[in-house]
Amino acid sequence: MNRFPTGGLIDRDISIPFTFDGQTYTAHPGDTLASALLANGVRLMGRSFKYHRPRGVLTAGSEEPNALMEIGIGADCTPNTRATTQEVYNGMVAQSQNRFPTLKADILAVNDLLSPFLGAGFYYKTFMWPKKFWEAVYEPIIRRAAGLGRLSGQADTADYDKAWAYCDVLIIGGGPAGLMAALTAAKGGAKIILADEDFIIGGRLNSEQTEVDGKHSQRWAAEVATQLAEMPNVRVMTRTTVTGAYDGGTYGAVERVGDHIADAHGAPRQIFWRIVAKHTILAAGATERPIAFPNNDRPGIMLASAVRTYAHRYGVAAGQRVAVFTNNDDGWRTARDLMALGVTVTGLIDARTDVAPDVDCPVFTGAAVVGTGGRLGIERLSVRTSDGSIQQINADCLAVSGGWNPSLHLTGHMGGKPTWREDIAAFVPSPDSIPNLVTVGAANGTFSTLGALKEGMAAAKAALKNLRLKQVRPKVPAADDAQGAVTAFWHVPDVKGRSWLDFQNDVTVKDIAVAHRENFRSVEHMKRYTTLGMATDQGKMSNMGALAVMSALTGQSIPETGTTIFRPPYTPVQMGALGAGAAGKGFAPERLTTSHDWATSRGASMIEVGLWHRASWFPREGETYWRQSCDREVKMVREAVGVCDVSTLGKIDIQGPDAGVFLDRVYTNVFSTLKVGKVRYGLMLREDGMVLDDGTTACIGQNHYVMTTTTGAAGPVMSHLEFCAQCLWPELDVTMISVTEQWAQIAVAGPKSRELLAGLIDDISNESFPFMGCGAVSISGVNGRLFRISYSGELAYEIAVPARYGESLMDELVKRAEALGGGVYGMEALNVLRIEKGFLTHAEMDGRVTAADMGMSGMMSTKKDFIGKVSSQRDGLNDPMREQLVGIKPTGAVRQILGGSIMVNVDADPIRENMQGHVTSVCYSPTLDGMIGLAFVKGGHARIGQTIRAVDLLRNVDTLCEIVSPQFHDPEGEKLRG
Amino acid sequence: MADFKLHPSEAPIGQPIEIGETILACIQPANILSIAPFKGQGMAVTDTLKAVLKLALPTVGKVTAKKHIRAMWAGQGQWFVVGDIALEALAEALDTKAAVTDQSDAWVVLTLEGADASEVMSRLCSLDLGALEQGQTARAEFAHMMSCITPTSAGFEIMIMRSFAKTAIHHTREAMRKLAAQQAL
Repeated sequence: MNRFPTGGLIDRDISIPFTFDGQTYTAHPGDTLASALLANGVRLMGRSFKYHRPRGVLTAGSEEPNALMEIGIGADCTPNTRATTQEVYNGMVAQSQNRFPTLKADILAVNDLLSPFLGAGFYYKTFMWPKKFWEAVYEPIIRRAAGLGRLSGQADTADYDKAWAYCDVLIIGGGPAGLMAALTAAKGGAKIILADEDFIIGGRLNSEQTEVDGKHSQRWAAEVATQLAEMPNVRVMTRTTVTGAYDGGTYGAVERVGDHIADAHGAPRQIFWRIVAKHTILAAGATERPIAFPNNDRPGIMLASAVRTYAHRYGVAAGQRVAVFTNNDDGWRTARDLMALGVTVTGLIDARTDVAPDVDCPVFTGAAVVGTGGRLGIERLSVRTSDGSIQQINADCLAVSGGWNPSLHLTGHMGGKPTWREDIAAFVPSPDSIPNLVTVGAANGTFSTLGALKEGMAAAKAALKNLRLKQVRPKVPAADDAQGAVTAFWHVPDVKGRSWLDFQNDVTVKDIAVAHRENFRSVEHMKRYTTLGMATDQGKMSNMGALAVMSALTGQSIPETGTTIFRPPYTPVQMGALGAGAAGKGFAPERLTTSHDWATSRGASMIEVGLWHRASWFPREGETYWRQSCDREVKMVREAVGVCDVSTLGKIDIQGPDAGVFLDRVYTNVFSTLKVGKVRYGLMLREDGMVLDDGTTACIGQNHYVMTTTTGAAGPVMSHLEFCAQCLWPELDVTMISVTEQWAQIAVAGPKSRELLAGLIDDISNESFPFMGCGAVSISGVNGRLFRISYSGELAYEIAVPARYGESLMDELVKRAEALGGGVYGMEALNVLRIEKGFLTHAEMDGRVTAADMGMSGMMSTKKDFIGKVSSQRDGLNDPMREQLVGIKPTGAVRQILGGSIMVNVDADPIRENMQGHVTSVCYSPTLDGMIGLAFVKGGHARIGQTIRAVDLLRNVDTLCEIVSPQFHDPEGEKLRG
Repeated sequence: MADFKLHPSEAPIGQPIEIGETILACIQPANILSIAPFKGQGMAVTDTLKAVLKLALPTVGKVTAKKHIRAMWAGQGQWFVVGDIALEALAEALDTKAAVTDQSDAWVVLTLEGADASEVMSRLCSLDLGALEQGQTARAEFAHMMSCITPTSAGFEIMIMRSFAKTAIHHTREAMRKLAAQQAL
């Protein structure tokens, strides 16, 4: 065990068992998987992506590139989880990734031997010959080898949630700067949210041996956290990563609610937040960067700050004989801290020549590490000293510090570019990169604790002033104010061997040189060519080093070389969180008619029409196939009477002194002359002359109309009407509102429909309700509306009652219909009936057809203007060879026509160039004893009587057809007007 | 003539649903009437309402109430009067002054109340609910469905189109359940 006897923010009284690669270990509350594994002496934690090199944990934070794990089993298994952020829970199952068969013996490590052939960009130069091999051989192999981590293949059963939050000040990061900002803003009465990705507030305060306000920094952080948690205007969100900065002060954030718990008992696993803040203070701190040297990726080689974090926060010794390689004063701090804990420091190697570390261990200045050794973990390193000689040093852990990179990623999310500061050899955020966001503390290049506290407070005070809140002046606690000196040192020059820059995508200093040689010299090209910075760690460890290497090669300065663009999310986000609530039925709301439960209780099969669920057919006893039900229902309507719920069609109530004028302008035909108590069929065009929708509009009172629309077009038509009323003709005095939901509407259709309704409605004579008449009726004391309209072509009515009575009316009507030899019918039958009559749906009106195409030129009024009139007069829309609506009937041996078939002339090849049109709707017609269809055919109106073929190339059906009038049944409409 | 009775369907929620610190209920008003004044008739409409109901038409985004009847803004040029109203009498009084439609069956009125009502709402509605005060009302999305959101003394009233009721209640219950489970951790 590598635990120090005391110290750390862990509960040593409680032991938590967990497994890693099948072996059981124990951890303490407060441990991450990484700290627990190190405590148990486990250094080997993964294999690298391309070369399968043995890797250990490099960091102690979310920037970790190496220690990626699968956590959980079965459907709960989550790959690519950083061991450094995963809290250990009782019974947690963890597996390393990307190795076969085991972490210690991975056969794909052979890739490392092939590295001369697998360098950056190798796949642009290979896999090209022979051509046939790409699809059959190369792609399958690459597909299997590619990717980091595996999915379980099972559906994610966890719950997620999404939520919104609003605040005056959002503080991102709970280290010294963030805590001071939060305290200040909260005392001033601002409504604040403090978000930190960690599970304990405090940032570096929890990882260092330092004092704030005269007490240990860990204790100060805990006290402030408690204070904040008790303030009613403060919301502290731990385990919450702010993932992106968006417009309008909106930030995306992921809160990990259940990832650290064995059984969350129904709590969401994660919540994806949208946080809207008036002011934002970015106090995200900084991440340390490594130095590249040959074999700098062995397990046991870690960032110096991580070694200190494991020591001070987790009470874990990362090694027993530790060497330190640094270009800044933090390296000395690491050596001192470790020695104070009783760890042997076998060497402090400082790349700088102008320093004299007063640390009581072997010291080498002006020196560099030029190699490491040890199988599956570091055991020794080679140091090139200032006089050029090589020294061997033993170490089971090498702490590397290359300086610090401010975590400025969020500031780049709106395209802002950072500013280079030579004095700290780092990029810092440029002001105003994000409106109303200021950066403080280490994220702003201010690396001392005192500096961070001061900046946090100042930013909060400025926010309070802007918000016109109480101006407060809390005391800045005493703290360490050493900024620490650093001299840029990115990689050790003049060495043999591969120096690793991007640990996750296996990119070396040499690969950057290749990119340069191949002329991919801009940082954006270098990134894509080498894939550096494109892994799940998004280059947090590698971007800086790589651009420094490229800068040296091109001779441009680092600021001239610049950075690539930072994009959200800051750390990977699970799709489950982004899609919270949208899986399965959650994909779309369901709209249910009033007869829905009634229909399902009768075994109806439902179909989705937009968001609506409609009954498709109603199987009776003995009917096992849908056609049996459908055919019966069609016959029932044609011979007796059928009842169908048509509530879903849009109903728009239009009123006002100018309602008639308004309708005249939106419809092609005249409506202002429609008398009260009458209904008219109307056609509506778009501005470009194409058909938008059709429907019937009834005049139910003086200046009072009810327009119906196709179910799926209700929303678009309503939008269109609103646009016309608000934007095109605001001078018209007209209003509109949807009444689709107010009325349940039921169709009663068939030769016995009048007989049926006579039992419910007082006067249903042909005189009172002629074809296309309408009026108010009373049904058992309930005020309803009756419309004599027909979509089936039979004598038919539609009866509307307030929606609360819909189910009851449906039930009563169907009872009476069944007594007359009829019954209920669904969408399949409805569709057959209308095809037999040549009535149209959006299968025909697909947005590309004109009124003329559909044979409805007669409906285009010559007496008035209307939307689409001018455009419809364009030559191209009046070409007689346009595809025009016709009916088709099979006339050959093949009796089946498939919807979507293309139309080709009898002797022509069924290829695109010979297409004459396509089939829009088909059905088996029980009325006509065979399949029929509606289709668009070039010059179809003049080709009635000709033969043509309907060809389905996907399903290999070729049907010889006769072109007929689309009005198959009762073309004179005698039944309608009966 | 008719030898049968039409009976109304049941409310989508019978007994209020209590989960954690929130209660979801359906409090269906007796009537909802939509009123859209014709051009230049705004004053005439408000005078009529005052005469008939002792209520004035509220301004955009607001609610006015008298006893158990209220008038609420419901969109551009649109108001709802909600409560036990004599519909025909009011409609007649407003004839030629405004477009009037019965919306009583078109909307389901839910209430979400309790100490955690706001927190549950934050899962379902993107509005800044802290900034929405009593006496105000908003048209917004509720769980991706069009709705009217009105704060009450104990929480929120949410009007949803009738056909969406089942989905709305399901999503609200889920949000309540998940929040209660999270708080129990």
